[in-house]
Amino acid sequence: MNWHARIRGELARPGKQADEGVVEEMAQHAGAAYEAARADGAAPAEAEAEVYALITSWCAGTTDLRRLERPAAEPLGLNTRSRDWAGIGIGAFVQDVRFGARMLARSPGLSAVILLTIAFGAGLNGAVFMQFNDAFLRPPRLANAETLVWLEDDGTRSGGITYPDYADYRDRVPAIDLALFGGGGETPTKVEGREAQPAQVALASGNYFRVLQAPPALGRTFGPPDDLPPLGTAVAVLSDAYWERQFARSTDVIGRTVDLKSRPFTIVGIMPAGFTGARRPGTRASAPDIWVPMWCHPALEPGSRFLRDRTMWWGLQPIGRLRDGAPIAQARAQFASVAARLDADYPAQRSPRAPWIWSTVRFDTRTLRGEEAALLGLASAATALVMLIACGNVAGLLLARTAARQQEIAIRLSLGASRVRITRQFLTEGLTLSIGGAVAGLIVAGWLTALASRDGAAMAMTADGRVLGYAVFLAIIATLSVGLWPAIQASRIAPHPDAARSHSARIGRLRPTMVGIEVAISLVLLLATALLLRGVVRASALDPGMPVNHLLAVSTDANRHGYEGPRLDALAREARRHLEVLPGVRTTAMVDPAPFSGARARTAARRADQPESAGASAFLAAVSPEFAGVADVRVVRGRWLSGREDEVVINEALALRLWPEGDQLGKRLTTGDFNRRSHVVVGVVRDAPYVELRHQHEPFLYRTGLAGTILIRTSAPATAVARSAAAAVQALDERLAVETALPAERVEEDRAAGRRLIVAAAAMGALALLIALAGVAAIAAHSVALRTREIGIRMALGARRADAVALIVRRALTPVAIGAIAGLAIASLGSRVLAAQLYGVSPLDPAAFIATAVFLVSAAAAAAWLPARRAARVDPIAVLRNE
Amino acid sequence: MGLRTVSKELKKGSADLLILALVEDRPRHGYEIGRLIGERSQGALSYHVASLYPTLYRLENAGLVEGRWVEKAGQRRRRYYRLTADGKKRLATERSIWQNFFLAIDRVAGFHKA
Repeated sequence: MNWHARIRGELARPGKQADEGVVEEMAQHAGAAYEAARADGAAPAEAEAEVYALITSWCAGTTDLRRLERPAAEPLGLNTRSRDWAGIGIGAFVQDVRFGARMLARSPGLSAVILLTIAFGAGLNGAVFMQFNDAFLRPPRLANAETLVWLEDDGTRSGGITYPDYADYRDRVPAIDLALFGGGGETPTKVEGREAQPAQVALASGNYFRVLQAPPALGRTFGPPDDLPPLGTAVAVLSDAYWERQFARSTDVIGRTVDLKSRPFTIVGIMPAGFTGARRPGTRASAPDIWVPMWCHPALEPGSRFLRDRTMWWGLQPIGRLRDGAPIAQARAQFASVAARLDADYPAQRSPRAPWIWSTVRFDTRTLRGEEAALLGLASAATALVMLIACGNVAGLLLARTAARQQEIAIRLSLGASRVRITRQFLTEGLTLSIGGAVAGLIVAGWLTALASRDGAAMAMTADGRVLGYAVFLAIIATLSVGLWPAIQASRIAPHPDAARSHSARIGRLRPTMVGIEVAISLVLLLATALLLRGVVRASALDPGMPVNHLLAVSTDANRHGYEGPRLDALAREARRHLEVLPGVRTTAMVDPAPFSGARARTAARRADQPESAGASAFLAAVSPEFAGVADVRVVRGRWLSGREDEVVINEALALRLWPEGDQLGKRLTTGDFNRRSHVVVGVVRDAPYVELRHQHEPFLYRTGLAGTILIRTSAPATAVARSAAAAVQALDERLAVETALPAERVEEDRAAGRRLIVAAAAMGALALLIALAGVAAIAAHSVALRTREIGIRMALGARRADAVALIVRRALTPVAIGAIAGLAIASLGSRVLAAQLYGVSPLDPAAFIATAVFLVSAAAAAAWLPARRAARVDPIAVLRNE
Repeated sequence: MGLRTVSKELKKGSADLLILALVEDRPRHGYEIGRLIGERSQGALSYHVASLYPTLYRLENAGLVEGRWVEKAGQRRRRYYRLTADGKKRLATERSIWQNFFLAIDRVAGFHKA
């Protein structure tokens, strides 16, 4: 059927002109009309005749079948190409935003999901980042912080610097005015006859306030003349908060007295509100109440050698100011040479120094330290991951939505809208969503942080430039992934209506990949939760190794009141005699440090016959022989301490480390690094925690000691005996400050901390899972829509409805399976990072892995099944009719 | 005016209205327009297809509709027509003409017995 020829024939009459376009158009219509007629049952000749009649009537008449050429009109009333870029002004933008808002309002459910996803992702990240920022990045609010530097003279120790070293650096590095702060801590403080209450006291060198350029709000700060050996000048500078609390801001506070540990200090000044002193990044935030000169330390701790001993590190932090514009490189060079000098002068007293100076305002990786850093780093990584998959999901959702609007896009493109215009449109929609989400996210972040800090960590969260910058960064990332990518995809639709199918197919290929990634990430997070959960379960089942509910620790500040040496021992013996006759007390022992008290002592233990070896780092306690009875120590080999000076008892872990071949009894070991003491091993005890529950299998060493804290074994629960025990000891000397502590409390706190960690991990895991499940459901739904025809045909050919559902679910689960396997692989590689928090559960615990995988796959199957049920409702007849 | 003349005018007028109205929602191509006329009128107005293209081109030359070639992958191009701004105005006019016409007839001859 050559319609073209026929049409041309008809049109080729005198006076008529027609262009080829007309011929083509009519020919198409003719062909379609012919097919339709045949489909209606007409015979070929009949149909042909019909169409010929049509053609004749088209070409009859006087109409000139020629189209006039017109210049291209404005397509759909949108900006033409040339005005696209000029259209980027507030007016066009506002128009875009309003259009975008209308489009978003058209699918409120989808928009709400996207907004919430971004909000939570950004919020979680913001909260974690704020903690991170506060702990590690934000420099203290100090004057001219660019010339302030931190000092570190030993790269391996975070305990700061020793005082004599500090003094040498202070005197011999002219480029820096070096100050020192730290020490002190919670101190019983009496204000004018009132009850003694603990206050945070910080020691500071004489030049501290000068170096910080921190003037007082009232009175004066102390200076170098107040900080001279042997005892300094007993003056104190108060913080604004403490002044308000204790003195109600009365202006005659200058010259009054505070008693620190029963020693009078004269108040000379008050610092302005908000001044908290310097804080080294990576150390816990604290706000001292009172500053006193460093050399007052011997008055507060009689007998302490801290200020004179070059081998004692007790948390003193050096901070300095570069003098007269000296460059930091010069300071480093001087510092290094002094350090070398000290190494040469005092070789035996420490490992060689690794000096380093860094600016307080510039971020330096050296500020990252320790377990806290690792934990925060993990948290940041986890939340970033969650944010990633959230964005991925959102991008997927938006892509799906552009697929639904393909026809609109195709028509607009075919009618002259430029791709730029369309991209801009979608980008604006995405921007509206992401900015809205980011703002909501900041609110969520603030709320989450407030929630977290109620939990005990008293960090003052502030939104400084960094946090705001991070929020903007998050918003941009969100926009790009959420807005730009779908926008570009949308505009890539070729301008014909049938692009629908190919675009749909492309999305169909992308989505499973994204879901696979999301599943992998969810699995990692959920596995972390599962492992931590196992750990906590293990911990609550963990035996503290000693009957903590029947233990009470009693300590005094006797050495402040002139007790030392033999007098101190006599006091202790007297105290124990009084205690042991109390009802409810079975026996007592001396311990140092007390178990589960937060205090810990470590030493390097080496075999005496291997002095060069690295040895083992072991926890240490100096106890009296009665300790075995008090704490129910289980001796597995040899015997317990008998009271001789050089005996030690080690635990199984340490025994295994030092003498793996067995046979430790009678062997000698040394403790300490620089002043090595030799001991003989007389016994081995079962592994048990002493400092913290998780230290069950850490190497441990007991030696004989007759001073420290009194540990009481009670027959009644320890809480019942606490009051009478304290009174009994107090009765010996009215001046003493007697403290009682319950090891059981600390054990419980330990467990509680573990539980908090689980809650956090579980929350994130749940969030990640929800997001991934949403993706799986979306895949299944999309599958159903795509395969309606296929399903209908299958069912018409005899497949059951259940089969159709199964088909959809199977397809949806394929990326889940792949993602799960990938997630398991990643998790098994990385889970050892959590080992410290797991209380001995293996990071590769099979139960956790299997349970998590099964849980995830089941959840995914359920998520896929819900939309898949729609497949069962496909009407095969309706499908066939549309064929 | 004889009945045939009136009919011719009516037919011509209604042809414009039909085509303009059918491309109001979205752009369509010739065959689609013809098909829709037949479907929606349930066959009553199918004769319009015989004058489809002359009418369409007339409307296009008058600037009331705009035609464009649209290309599909793997197929020949098709010409789609859409309503222009002028066409919208004309459509509104045509609609109100027909509406008034029916109202007038109703007032005289009465469609509704109420």
